[in-house]
Amino acid sequence: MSTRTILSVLVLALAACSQGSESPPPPADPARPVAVLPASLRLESAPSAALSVVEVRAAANGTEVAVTGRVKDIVATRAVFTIADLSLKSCAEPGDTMDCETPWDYCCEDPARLAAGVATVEVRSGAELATGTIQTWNGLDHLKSVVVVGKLTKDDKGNATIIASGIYVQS
Amino acid sequence: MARSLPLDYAVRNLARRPLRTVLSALASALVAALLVAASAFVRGLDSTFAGAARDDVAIVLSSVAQRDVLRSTVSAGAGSLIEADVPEILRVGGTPAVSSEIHSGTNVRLGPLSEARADEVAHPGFVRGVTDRAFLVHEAVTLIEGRPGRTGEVIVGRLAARQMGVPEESLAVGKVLRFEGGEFTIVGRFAAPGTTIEAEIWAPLSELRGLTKRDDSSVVFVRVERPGEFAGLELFALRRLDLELVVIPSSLYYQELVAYFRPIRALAWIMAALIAGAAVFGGSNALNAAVQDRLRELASLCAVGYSTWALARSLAVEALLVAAAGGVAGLALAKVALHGGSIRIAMSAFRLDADAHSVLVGFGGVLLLGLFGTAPAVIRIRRISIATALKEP
Amino acid sequence: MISIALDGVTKRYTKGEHVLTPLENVSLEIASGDFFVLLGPSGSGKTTLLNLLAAIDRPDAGRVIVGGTDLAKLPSGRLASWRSEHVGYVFQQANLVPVLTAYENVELPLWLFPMSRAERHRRVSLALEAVGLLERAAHLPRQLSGGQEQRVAIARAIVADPPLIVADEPTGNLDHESADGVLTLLSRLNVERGKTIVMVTHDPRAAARGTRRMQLDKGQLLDLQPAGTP
Repeated sequence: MSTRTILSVLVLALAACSQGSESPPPPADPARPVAVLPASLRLESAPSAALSVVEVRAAANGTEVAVTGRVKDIVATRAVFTIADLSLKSCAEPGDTMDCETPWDYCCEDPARLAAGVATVEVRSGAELATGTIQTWNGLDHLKSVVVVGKLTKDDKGNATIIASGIYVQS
Repeated sequence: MARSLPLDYAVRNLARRPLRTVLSALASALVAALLVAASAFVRGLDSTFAGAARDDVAIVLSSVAQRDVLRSTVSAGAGSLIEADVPEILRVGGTPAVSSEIHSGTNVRLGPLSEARADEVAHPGFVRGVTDRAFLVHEAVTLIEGRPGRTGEVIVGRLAARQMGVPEESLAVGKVLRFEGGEFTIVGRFAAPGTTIEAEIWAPLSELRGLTKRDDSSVVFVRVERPGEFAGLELFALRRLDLELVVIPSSLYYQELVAYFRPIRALAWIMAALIAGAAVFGGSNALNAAVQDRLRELASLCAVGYSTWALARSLAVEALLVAAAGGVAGLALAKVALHGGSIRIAMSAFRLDADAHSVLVGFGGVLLLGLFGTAPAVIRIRRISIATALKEP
Repeated sequence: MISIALDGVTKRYTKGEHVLTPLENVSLEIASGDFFVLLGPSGSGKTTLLNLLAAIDRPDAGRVIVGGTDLAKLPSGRLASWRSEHVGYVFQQANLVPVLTAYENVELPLWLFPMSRAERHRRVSLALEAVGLLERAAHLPRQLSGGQEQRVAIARAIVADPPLIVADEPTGNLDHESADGVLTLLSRLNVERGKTIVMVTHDPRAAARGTRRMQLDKGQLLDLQPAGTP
């Protein structure tokens, strides 16, 4: 057996062993750099009295809100994502028989309910959007429950965007 | 010393049982033709979708359409909003490369309404409603005859006739088509090599909207300045949640299409493998029977001084000669059968081409299978007891 | 020139549950240049013994030494080439290859040697001439009589000039006239070319051609009076 083969076997064996213990966070994809965000963005505990996404969409423009929801879509090169109301059913819910590869697109949900239960979260670096994806930041990923604190901005079409000042990611 | 039997011995043995030889060669021909066809099919399928994919083009479609362009509805103004909001969009001579389109599977009738017969047949066709901007995002499209269409006019892809199952001449420039209640004169023909677009009919977007009573589009194709730079487009989709849009890079979209057709691709190979398996089994049996028929003769050749390996080689040469003869016939058959042919699949079509790769797969495959089929007979020869075989009747 | 020695040779066959022993502890010496005739009833082990001499079969016990080579010790991969260099085999049936002409059949053993086409042609012509069938060279076996086929088989056996010719009932399927022709040919090869010939037969007329005769019965050899001895 060549040295290369032995090394390959060892690496595979180590990889197999490591699956039994606690998995380390997935390595960053070089094609999708993770945004470098201020430490103050990370909330150590969930703010109390957070609103649902549906409630936030009904709130007044410009107000400071705390909103809870699950991460839906994540932009690959900007610190932007959407959150869905906790009442919405993703395709990964227990009992869902569809073998959906992207359960966070909520494709099994009623489109009208979905339209009324999603908001956008943006993280700014100064006046600009922070570059790099927010995926994997502090464990944030698709369908993770989060609480976002920030300023609500709404347009005339009813689209709600929260400019985040703090994010709590539920482990 | 491991000298071989003369080639004449192998060649003339083929004439001993002409029917058996002819049947084996026919089986080889069938397998070679099938391998060529399967290879051409798979390569056509792959290259068709690969050809349409561009890493600087994204498809914007409705998030509730589950990536089905025929089900997708995007608001008519989405294209203009994208142009205004997304800075990375490519501009060609000041015109943004953003193409709002309607994709429609519809029934197409041939000839003007005035000449319509009661028993005329409607042909399923794929019509794309476009503006001139479509040429900015679909770079593969080249007009090979005529000019772009205006109101009441269409241009047709060179595989459209095949896809619709109508003669080529019925979609010639100057001919008239009817669909969605409108009458259109063909004013141009286009090629889009290696893409599904070649099987389409392109009609003016505004006219198609009017005829189909739609005030929206199916999809918006967007071309950006630098490959993969779709962040602005994604941001737009996430900020304008009311538009319910999803952005898919075209390379990913077509990758998914390829994956969707993977079972069909597998089926093509499985069919070829099953036929090949049956042919190998039949050929193998024929060779085994040949060994049984010639047992005493083979033993006497061993007594003369030939090794069992030399006999096995001669048998392999026989099998290869039959496989090669059948293979050549099969290649000719495939060439004739596939010539200019194309395959209709879903709402599209692609050309079948017996290219060098497919020919290599067909001919090489049949030779390998021929060799593989000799294995049982070779094992049998290797186990011959000369003393016992010499007593065979 | 080649001499043969069998030393305590035993050969067994298993047929179903039965073990047959056609040869048991057989010892024999055949001098170089002998025309050795082996007689015996059917199933007495004559062909078995012939196959052992021709390196077609191996003994279960004992030694078979032909031209100084212990055939039992010869590796399996060497047996075929040893046969081609040392033995010409004439079968009861001619066993010619039906798709090849008489010429090509005779030529077959020569393909085993590095030899020019011209040299092959010369040898094949000589061999066919020796058996009196040169004019039939282009005929296929089915176009020849039984006797002619057997003479082609003899030409095939001698074409590579092996020192030993083994013949298993070479006249068994022939009429008297053809049989005489074949036996005369074998005698001439023995006398004129000095070939050592081992022939198995149960035909007393054929046996009379031998210079030495033995009887094989129940696995044992019995020396018979040499032909022509009063």
